[in-house]
Amino acid sequence: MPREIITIQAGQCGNQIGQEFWAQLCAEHGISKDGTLEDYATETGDRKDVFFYQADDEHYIPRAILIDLEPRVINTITSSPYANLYNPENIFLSKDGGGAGNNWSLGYGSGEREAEEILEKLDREADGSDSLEGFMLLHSIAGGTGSGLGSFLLERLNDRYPKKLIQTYSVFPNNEEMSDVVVQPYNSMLSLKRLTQNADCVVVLDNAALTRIACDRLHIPNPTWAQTNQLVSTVMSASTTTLRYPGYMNNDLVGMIASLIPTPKCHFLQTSYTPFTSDGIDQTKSVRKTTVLDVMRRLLQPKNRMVSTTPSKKSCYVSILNIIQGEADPTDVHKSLLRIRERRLASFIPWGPASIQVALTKKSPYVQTPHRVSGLMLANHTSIASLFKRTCDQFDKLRKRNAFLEPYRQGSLFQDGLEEFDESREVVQDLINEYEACENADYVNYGQ
Amino acid sequence: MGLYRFLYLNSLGNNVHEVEESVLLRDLIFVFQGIDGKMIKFGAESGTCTIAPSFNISHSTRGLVSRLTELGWLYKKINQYVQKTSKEASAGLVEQSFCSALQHELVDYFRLIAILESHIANDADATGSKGLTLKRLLVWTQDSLQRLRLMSVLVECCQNLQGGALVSMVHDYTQHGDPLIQQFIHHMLERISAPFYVMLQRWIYEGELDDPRTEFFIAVNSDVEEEDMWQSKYFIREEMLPAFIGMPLAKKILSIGKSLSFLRHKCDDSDWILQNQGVEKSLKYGDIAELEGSIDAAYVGTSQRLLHLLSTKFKLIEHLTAIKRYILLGQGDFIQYLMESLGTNLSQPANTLFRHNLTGTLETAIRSSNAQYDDPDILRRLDVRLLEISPGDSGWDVFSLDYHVDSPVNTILTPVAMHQYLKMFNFLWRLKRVEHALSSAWRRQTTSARAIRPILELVPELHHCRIVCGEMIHFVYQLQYYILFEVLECSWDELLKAIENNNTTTDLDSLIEAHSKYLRDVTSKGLLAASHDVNMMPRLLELLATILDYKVAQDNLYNYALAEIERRERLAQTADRRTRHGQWGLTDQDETLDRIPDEQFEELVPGLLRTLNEYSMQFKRELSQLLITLSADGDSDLRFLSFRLDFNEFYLGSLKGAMVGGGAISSSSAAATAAVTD
Repeated sequence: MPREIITIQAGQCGNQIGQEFWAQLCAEHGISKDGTLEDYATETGDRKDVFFYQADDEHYIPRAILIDLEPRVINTITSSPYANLYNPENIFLSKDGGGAGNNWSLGYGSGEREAEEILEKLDREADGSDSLEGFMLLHSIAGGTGSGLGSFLLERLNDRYPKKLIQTYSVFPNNEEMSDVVVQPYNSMLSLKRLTQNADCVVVLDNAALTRIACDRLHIPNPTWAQTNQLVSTVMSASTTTLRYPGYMNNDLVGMIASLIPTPKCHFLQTSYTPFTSDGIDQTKSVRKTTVLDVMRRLLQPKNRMVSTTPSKKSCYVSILNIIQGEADPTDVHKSLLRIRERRLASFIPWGPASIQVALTKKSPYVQTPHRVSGLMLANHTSIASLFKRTCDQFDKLRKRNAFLEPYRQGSLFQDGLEEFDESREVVQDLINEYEACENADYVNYGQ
Repeated sequence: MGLYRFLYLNSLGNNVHEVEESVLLRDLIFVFQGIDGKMIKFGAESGTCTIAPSFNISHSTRGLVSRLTELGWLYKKINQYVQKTSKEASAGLVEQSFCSALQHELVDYFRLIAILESHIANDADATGSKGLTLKRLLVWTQDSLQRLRLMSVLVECCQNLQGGALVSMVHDYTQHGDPLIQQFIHHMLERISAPFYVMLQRWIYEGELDDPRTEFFIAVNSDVEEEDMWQSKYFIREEMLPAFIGMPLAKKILSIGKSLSFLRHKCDDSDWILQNQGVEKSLKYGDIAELEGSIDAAYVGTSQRLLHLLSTKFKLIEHLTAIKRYILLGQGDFIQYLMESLGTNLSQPANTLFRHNLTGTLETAIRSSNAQYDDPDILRRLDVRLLEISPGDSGWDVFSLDYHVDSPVNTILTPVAMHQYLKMFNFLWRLKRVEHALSSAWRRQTTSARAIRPILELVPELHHCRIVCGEMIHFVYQLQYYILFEVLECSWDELLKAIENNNTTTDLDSLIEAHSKYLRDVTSKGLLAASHDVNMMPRLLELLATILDYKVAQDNLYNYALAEIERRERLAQTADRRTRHGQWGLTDQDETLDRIPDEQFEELVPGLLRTLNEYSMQFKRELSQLLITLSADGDSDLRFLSFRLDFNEFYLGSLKGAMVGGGAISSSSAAATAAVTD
């Protein structure tokens, strides 16, 4: 009885990440590009059925729904060596193929129009699983499809599967520099509202940090999408290891995120990963010594974090889960925890107990990495609010001038006015407030 | 009377003149053989020889003769022993070989006597030439005298000694400073110890204890149960241990034979023993270093063979891994399935459980988890067991997984050890159950959060619920991480290293010891009983029970809240429908209907909240007590658990706060702070 997870990849970014993610999972589980099991894949410690199911001919098929409103990325996938991996029935491409034009409203509207067909695919996929744990949405929040259609799906999933968890891997725009998509703040704000209200766990990744990591850690001056997406897929595969390689703990999504998310609204997680290596880029400076302590210490360093936040003095961790992969010595965990507390390398919430959880997992035997040990940190940190604040600031600037609103008015949500914008802004403000309250000891009485 | 005696003696000695030396010599020859001479006779009581004072023998000659008679006396004593022992049916093999060695030496002695006799005869023929004199005799017999003395001492010492003890006793004399004596003893020992070496050889090359007279230093206890064979069937009898074999060597010898016997009887590996016994050379007394060499070789060979068989043919490591995966809950997906499908069953009273239903579930759990890829031989051993039921027990109290092991692995995984494992399972399973309950509580909170958001009056309460729940999740998770890393994984790592290391795990005994240590570590640390100061288990179980109570109370609250939401929606729908038909949205009747649940809300909810609050207070109280006990514990790992449970020093802070706050502290936390300051 696997706790299946259905992956929904929406929009250009979502599908690109998804493509890398599935390639990574295939490699780790010894599944070939067309879904057959490789001859060498004889190890039995993994659970493929969380993310894959087997067709009648024993082919492994990802539990994935691919959705896009313009055909470019999906065409790349269907003409790639992985073309036969996916179930063709699970690919949705809008008939007009015009895309959402970076307009949240258009994406949302397409969702409404195509709801039946998309939900039918989801239902079919859900029916095909024994004990569905939840959904995993991969998207970016800045564009049109991933953000708009993604938001629509989040709402619908809530209604349709009220007892299932929804986790998202959401790529935030690089809001440190001007983007060519001027309405990005609008799209982000509208999506953020859904991420706050309709998702149970959001893993935040932002392009600014991804680019920075690609530059600094991997020494790629101008990283391509594929390269940054590979970073994301590495994080995704690492954060799902405990689900795919069952051990003593953290074997299902709830088991993993229950301890990370004590209060429902504060469900935005940051990730750090170390050490990074990437295919084709061999100038990566090798991290020579990789002990558990080194890994755990590096994971706490801001430069390895895949979100750009500006922590204040009061910023603190609500919770931390470190997933250490590879040949880690269990006795090292003990020492590392002692060291980290001795040096006060991490500060925690004042209103409840919090600590660094560590899960040790095996590395896939089929994937060779130059490092003995690697680690992923999933952390709930209050500094995430600074990212939302930045989004709010940029949103406010546009909204004050009522700039670029016209394209949105065509959407059904905006026909009667632009309250949706202000409502979203309010929801996000609430979120910021709650994260700030989280830094104080009286958070226990929050909301009274 | 004096006269008679005189006459009598006169008739013997011909005259009162001084007795001739040749007569004395001839007499002595008799005496040497333990027979009374004409003049020299053995005293009936003392056994010493005397010459009647009436004989005209000079004082100095008497002295000489009496010195010479010692030989006869010694001979007689030795001979007596030899005669007695060889007649005795109960005489041991070593004792017999001791006699034979003595007899062998006596043959030399007889040869000497024969030579002396012929000398005397020659002297008698060739009159005048005084070849043999008493003095010469004294000189010539010195060598034999020394030997006979030594032999008689040995006889004296070895009275009533058997087997190894006898060998030891004789061996003590090799420490003598005189190289001649040393050599002599050595020579004797070769013979004496021959049966010992035969036994030793059979023992270390065949694993057979061939010791009809119980002389060997290894003895057998024949009433031993099958599974205790290794532990207590054979043992060392120290009194029978020859002095030249030290205790470490003796233990090795014991181990070799035990291993062989184990291989033969438990592992069906007689072929290997047959193949290997022939090549060895025969052992005999002598170079101890060489003996040690042979024993070491046999020891290494046999132990390695046994360990090899255990790890290959009998899959010891696989069994240990299986126990870790199933009994110690390492196979997460399997345990999760079991937990989910058994959960409702186990909440029933224990006497309503049926083993066959449970085994069915177990099989499904195996099939639907990665356990299915495990060796069928391993899976076949996995079983459900219902522990003894006491009144009032629920299924949770009596359910246990079990793992069957058989010979020869049950020598390591003994019934006692398995019992320990089951105890550990019981605790881990309880902990898992609480984790599972908390997960479902969290899922409930999360998935219902959106639905019940409209009940504004509950928002702060639910928020509080979440925080308490978060605290409980933190506690249970950290406890499990502690058990996982500090207890299970580290001990497991040590065990594997110990098993793989040929220097520490040399034989089955050390393997057993390594496993016992592992099991000891796991149970004592896992059950928080590393130091015996305080038994923390009752408090811990209390804490876990409180969490379960809290979860039930919280479920009630959510059930209520969801019902309330449904009611409100129903009302809204009715209103909506009526408005569309042009009627009033809500009538008085609805209002009354509406009020009933409202009253329920007013009555029920405060009660629910009170219960929740009580449980959460109880949880906090118990937890701070536990933390205090843990942080003061003598065991570093248990102290580390308190460190883990309060990583961000939240509890420490609140304890301090309570101390400063003064008035508000409850009696238990006052006691707690007192304990801290102590």
